[in-house]
Amino acid sequence: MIRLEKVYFTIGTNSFKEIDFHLPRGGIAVILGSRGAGKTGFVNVCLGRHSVDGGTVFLMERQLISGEALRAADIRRVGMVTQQVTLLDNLSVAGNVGLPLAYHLGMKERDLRDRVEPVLRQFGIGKIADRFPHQINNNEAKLAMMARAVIQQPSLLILDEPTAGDLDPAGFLQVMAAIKRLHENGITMLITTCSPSMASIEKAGFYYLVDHKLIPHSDHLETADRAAREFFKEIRNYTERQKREISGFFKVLFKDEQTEK
Amino acid sequence: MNEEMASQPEGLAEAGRELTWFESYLDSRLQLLAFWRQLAYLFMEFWMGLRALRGNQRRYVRNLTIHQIIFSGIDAVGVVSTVAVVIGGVVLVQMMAYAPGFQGSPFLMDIITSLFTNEIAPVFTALILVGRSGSAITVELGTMRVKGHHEALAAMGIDIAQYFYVPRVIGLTVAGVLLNGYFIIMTFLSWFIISSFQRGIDMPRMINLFVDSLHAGDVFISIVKGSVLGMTVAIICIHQGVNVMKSVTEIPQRTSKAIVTAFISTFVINIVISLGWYITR
Repeated sequence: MIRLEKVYFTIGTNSFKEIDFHLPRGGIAVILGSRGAGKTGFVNVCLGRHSVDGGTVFLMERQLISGEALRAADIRRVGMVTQQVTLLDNLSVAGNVGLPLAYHLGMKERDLRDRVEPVLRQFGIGKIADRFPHQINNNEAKLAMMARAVIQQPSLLILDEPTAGDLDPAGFLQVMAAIKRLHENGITMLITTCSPSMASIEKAGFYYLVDHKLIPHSDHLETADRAAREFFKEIRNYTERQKREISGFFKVLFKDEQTEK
Repeated sequence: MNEEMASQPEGLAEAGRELTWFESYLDSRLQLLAFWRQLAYLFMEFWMGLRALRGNQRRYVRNLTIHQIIFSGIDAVGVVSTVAVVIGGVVLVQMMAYAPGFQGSPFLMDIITSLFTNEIAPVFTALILVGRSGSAITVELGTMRVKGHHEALAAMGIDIAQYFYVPRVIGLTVAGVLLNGYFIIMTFLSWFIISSFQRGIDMPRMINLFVDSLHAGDVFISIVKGSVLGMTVAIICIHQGVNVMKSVTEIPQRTSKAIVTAFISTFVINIVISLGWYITR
């Protein structure tokens, strides 16, 4: 789905050299790196938005030529969730999620509703469909952005820091559950994160972006173990109410999985 | 967002040394040229976005445009009515004081009708558009830029020019023409109402003179000015909005710049069109 071969690129004063990367169809790759390591720049290179100094970039089996804009049809095959909350303030959650369909397919209100509501329910935010972005919390906003990114049924989903922002533990778990579900549905995913907790994603290929190099990391268990420790260390600082919320979420999640079985 | 458009006008000041008065003058002229070039570039983006609209997108953008016309045109009726009645009333009172028989004079009615349809109505309408819609556009687009909405829309395959520029430019152009016509109607309506309370004014004759003094050329130039000024206000305010880079503090600065630039441009463009019209007719 994405292939980088000996790619050189520059972001600001940082030069990235000999970047090799391969994300097969149906695969999931997690790019771990500290803030400012160049993760968003790397994503932009993968999407052809940032020009490269050398090497070749393939996106969806097509070689990208530096400076050439992606075709509209290709853009629509890529879903993107950005770091910032980018829901449009003048549209409701349902309006935001249905925006790509309304714009590209000219769907009318009722058809849009029929298409958007199941997706919102899938992400556990069906109840907030008519609320506006200022009336929802960060967890819900992040999930709404994920719902908007997959509404066009993309082949590739890019999540740029999906757990960044003020997500509480319940929000983190909801995002992780959504990622797991999307991956099970066969969507190829590229995730960038600075949170080691993301290493708990199963069957993912892990890469560290350090010192302007992309280093593959094969020891998933070690990374996951460290992530779990970080997560539980973090939880110790939460209030009783927050812990109850997390516990409640686990119960709902467990119940959902039982029902599905 | 095109990088070239997002960049500031470059001038001699970039050289990093102290400039002589002549170089400073030249620098300011160059920056002004660069500014107008950027506006022309934005207009081209708008035009290309408009031409590239296809079926479904056209329907969606049409809805956005209707909303913009309602906000900039219909919702501004109250403000325009107030300004038109106040200005019309003031002029009428002055005329009654200094030229008591004006309503019977075709020559004076000609002057007043031309003044209102060709100059006062388009300029005041444009100023109301700047204060009401133009500032709102700059703040809205600037905030969206800081919040990363432009990038998010682009990631969804939504054309920024179609989503942001087309509805606003067409909306303000149409609103400019409609409000301009409404301003003229309200002004003369206020005249007739105020005149009806004044003894010795022959209303039917005044209406006849007004209709006779309203030439097709006046209506034409009024429509041209309304549309050109509305479009100019939209382009200037969009330009300032989309040039906000990453900081929230830029938004008030850009808004104030947009308002001042649009005010000055309104007067300059009005003069240019008037001169062109009077010279060529």
